[in-house]
Amino acid sequence: MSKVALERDIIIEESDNNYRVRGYVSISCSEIVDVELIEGFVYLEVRGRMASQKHHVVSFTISDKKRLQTAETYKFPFSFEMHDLDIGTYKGKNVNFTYKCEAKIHIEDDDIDKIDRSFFSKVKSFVTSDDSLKVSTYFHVDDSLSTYQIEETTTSLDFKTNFLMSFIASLLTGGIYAFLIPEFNAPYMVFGVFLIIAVIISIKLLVGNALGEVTMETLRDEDAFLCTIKKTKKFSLVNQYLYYQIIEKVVDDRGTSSSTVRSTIYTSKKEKISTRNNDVQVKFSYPEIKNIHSNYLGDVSIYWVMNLKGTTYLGFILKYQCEFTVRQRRQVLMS
Amino acid sequence: MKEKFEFNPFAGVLEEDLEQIIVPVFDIDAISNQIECTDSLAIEFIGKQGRGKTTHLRYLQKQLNSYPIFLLTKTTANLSNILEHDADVVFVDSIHHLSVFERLQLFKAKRVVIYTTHWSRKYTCVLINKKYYSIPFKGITVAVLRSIIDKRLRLASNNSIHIDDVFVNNDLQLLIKKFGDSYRGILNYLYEQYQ
Repeated sequence: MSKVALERDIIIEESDNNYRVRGYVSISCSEIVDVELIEGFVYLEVRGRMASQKHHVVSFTISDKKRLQTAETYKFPFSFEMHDLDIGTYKGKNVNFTYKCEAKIHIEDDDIDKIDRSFFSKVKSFVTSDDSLKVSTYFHVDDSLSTYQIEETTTSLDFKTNFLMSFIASLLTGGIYAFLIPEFNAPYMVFGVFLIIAVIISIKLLVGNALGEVTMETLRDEDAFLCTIKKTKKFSLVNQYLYYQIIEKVVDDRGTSSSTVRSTIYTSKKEKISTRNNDVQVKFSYPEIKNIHSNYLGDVSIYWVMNLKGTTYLGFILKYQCEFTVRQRRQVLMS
Repeated sequence: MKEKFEFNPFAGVLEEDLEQIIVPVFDIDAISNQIECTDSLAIEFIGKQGRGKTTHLRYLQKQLNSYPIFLLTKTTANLSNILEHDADVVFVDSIHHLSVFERLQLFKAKRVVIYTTHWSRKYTCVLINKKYYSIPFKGITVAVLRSIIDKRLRLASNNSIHIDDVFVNNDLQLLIKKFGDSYRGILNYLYEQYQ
């Protein structure tokens, strides 16, 4: 007895900027088949240079019982809304966020063995472990109307270790070793590493205390945000610049070792700030690109950092940095 | 070329896709038989990082899914979690996160332990008279690399592409020359090319 060829496809007709998605599943078969149920599922897939993730977003029923006649093509329309989503479609350097719509076609028990399982349609389709037939497609989530919104907060900027500090620490340690250490062996090497770390921490504390605490206050300002930097009188750096960056971070925990990749996906315009005033306010605009708001999803994170750079009188560049949170606000149009 | 794929073929795979991309280095039936029929056994998947040890461990556990898998990291390495589990067969990824004493306890408590490691732990087995054997993850051939790459391309393709035409043998030889037998290195490099 020849098997029944069941051709199926899934089409997304529209994914509008109001987070409504509309499409249909089409099925045609070479013999009469009774469909018990067609279910729809939407998943967020996070694929990249790490263990990929799949998150369930929404489920819905596409069709109940239906007898499919020979050589007819049936269209089963469906629609769903995704107002509660926090993340849209995103293509990054080390990770992509994509949305997949999947239909599961459950065939009546009496007919399931008649179906030709080797059939492979033009789109991806498989037989699942529960004997249903699967067909899926990817679609774009339109975030064109969404806007960014900063979380208003006050936070301290951290003084960052730089190459110069490591160099000075290594030089000091090298000097101590050259004059005081009689031989170069494993315990002394370990001691040397600890010494370098201790010297770096000491320099950091010393310079940090000398320049005083720096804090940042963030405020919303319609389509932009305001950043107020508060310094003390001790803050004597010249050529001060303020700018923010958006970093994509991926932790690759696959296997017996772990590695982390960080890529800068956006750098704002560098704003020169006054060295005379202790408090300075800078207005920053948000980036044009959507879906790069602060986000933490397992091994993947996107975070925003504010950088304050300045130069010492000796010409050395020092950097202060702090993380801040920016949400993406979705605008749902009333219809 | 990139538009012929629904996602980057060289990204990390989803758990559900594991069986579709793996090129097993061992006979799954033979190893399953041993696990089920032996009184006391330790099987180590040994090799440098990025050679496929964890992928194979996860794949084997999916075939024998009544037994649990513990993916240990610096922060999640907790022996009591493994010992508290009823199963007498356990899969342990990155066993080096357990101390020698913890490994001894584990090998004593569980009938079969299948684990990944960079360095052989056979002396721990010798100490408690537990049978063991190692499956090395070392070496690479153009044929195996082709098979791995083709499977990934097929999984990600939108069926409008002839997979066989994407890489020629010379490309694969160059990849092997550059990265040796580090599959992770090769896949990460190809990920960047396709992203």
